[in-house]
Amino acid sequence: MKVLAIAFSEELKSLLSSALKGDAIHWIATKDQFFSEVDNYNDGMFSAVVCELSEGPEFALEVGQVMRSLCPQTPSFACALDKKEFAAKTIRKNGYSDVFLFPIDKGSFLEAIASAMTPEALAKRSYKRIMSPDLQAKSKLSFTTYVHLPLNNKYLVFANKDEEFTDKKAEKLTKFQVGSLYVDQKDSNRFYEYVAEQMKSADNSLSETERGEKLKSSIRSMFNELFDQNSEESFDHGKELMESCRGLVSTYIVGPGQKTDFHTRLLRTIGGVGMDYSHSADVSTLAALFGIALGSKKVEELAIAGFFHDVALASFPVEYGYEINPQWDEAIKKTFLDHPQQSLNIVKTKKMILPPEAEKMIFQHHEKFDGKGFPKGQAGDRILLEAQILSLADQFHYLTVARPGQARMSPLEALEVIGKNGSLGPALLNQARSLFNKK
Amino acid sequence: MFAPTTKILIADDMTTMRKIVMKACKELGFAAFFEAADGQIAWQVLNENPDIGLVISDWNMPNCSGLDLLKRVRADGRFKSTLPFMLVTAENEAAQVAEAIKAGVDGYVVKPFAANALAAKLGEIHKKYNKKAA
Repeated sequence: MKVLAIAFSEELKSLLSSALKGDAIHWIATKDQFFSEVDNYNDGMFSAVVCELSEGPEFALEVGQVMRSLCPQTPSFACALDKKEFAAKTIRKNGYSDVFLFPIDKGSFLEAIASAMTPEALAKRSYKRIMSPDLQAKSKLSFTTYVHLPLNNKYLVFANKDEEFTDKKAEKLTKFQVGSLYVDQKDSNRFYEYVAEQMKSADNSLSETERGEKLKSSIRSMFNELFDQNSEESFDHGKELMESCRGLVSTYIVGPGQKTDFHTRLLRTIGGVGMDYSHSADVSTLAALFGIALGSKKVEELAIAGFFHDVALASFPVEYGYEINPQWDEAIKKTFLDHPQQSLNIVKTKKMILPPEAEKMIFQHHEKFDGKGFPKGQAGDRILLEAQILSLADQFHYLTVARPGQARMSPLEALEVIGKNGSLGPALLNQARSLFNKK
Repeated sequence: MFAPTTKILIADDMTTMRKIVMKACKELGFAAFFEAADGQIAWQVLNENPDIGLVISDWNMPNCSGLDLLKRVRADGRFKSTLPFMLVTAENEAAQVAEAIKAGVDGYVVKPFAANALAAKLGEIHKKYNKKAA
């Protein structure tokens, strides 16, 4: 990978040329050259960015902001050849990882460049964590997988691209309790395609029950990872996992090779952003995952219904929750009681035609198995199974995310609450519980 | 609701940053844009186009900063508090955020941001305005 060098002075040019091999640098000699190329830049193209400040601070600050937006993982360094240009705080605030004043900082500048180019630094930026149980023994992988050795921060090849992922390798992962492997970021889509394909076809030689078990086990591992409260991983890791699940559901539904993901397409179709995007996309993802694990044949419809089920509640305060509170005033109550039908009406005004099953799921997602739901008070089998799955995903999402003043519940705690409110049938509830029991 | 026809004013002194914000908005289905290279031009554009329905402005701009533009908008009877205003900024220090909130900003996104982050923030702003209208 090359260093992107925006250098105007002979001093910086010769310093970089002597420190790096000629073909390891992509030179930018003019501002126009930068602006004409910048649209094509993305993370993974450059090991580092160097920009000289001598052409005036405006240009350098623009470079800093733009590169941080387009290539957030790539370190960028500013070089000041004159003390007057050395406004370190402003420069860092505008996206640069560090700033160096020449000639005194030459040594630390070269060290920073060298450390940005070490295999470890490059590896850290370009690997994506995946969950080991997603890999099926005896399947052929279209991407190379790696194990991470945290003590010396190294990534070693575990299974090669285009080779069979053997039983022996699968056993090894179980034996040494390796829960995560890594793939090159560039292979993320191949990984989604692989898992989606595994889920769709499973193994033709398997019985329906075995196939169901296999899917269940795959989704179970995703859920366990997503909702692992004991995990010391950061909030960002949780977001990253949800993004992965979203990518997977998107690939499962729209198939491989699509540039725009499923939820962005839906958002674009409905136009504008008058909805709670993250709630919609998360419930849609969870509904699809629950649907796959519980053997539904209507996964796409579930994902669509999950995305639009609350579109009429865009202005409804999230802290009000998902159950009617007797203390609400009449207007609030009416908005809430009408929202399944109103959500469908809004979708229709956007000239969107939903699959009839998806419409029914939206309409029935507040019906309860015990007949005490709304809008019709239907009970038992009169409620579509997928409408119950959507209700499960909706409530589950609400209960398991952190809300102001309340701790998030564990999946089993959330299912206990859901189990007591009569919204789901006992069979579905048991199946959902089995997804979160320890293996 | 922010309809896809909502006209958006994007104010940033950096051409490329305007392009990045516009690209993210296009991803969200918006199609009508005005651009301004500083706060002063943004103010003129706003005066000439009263149907602009959303302002996304950089904080640091020459002539008139994003914060000053926001203060002007909030002080003007024609716009008052009904024009949604979002700041895109590299400044995420508590004091500065507090100053922007005091001046009536509806939301801010810290650079760098992805289209989804912008969507989430615009969703929040829309929710706030719907609540006000109710």
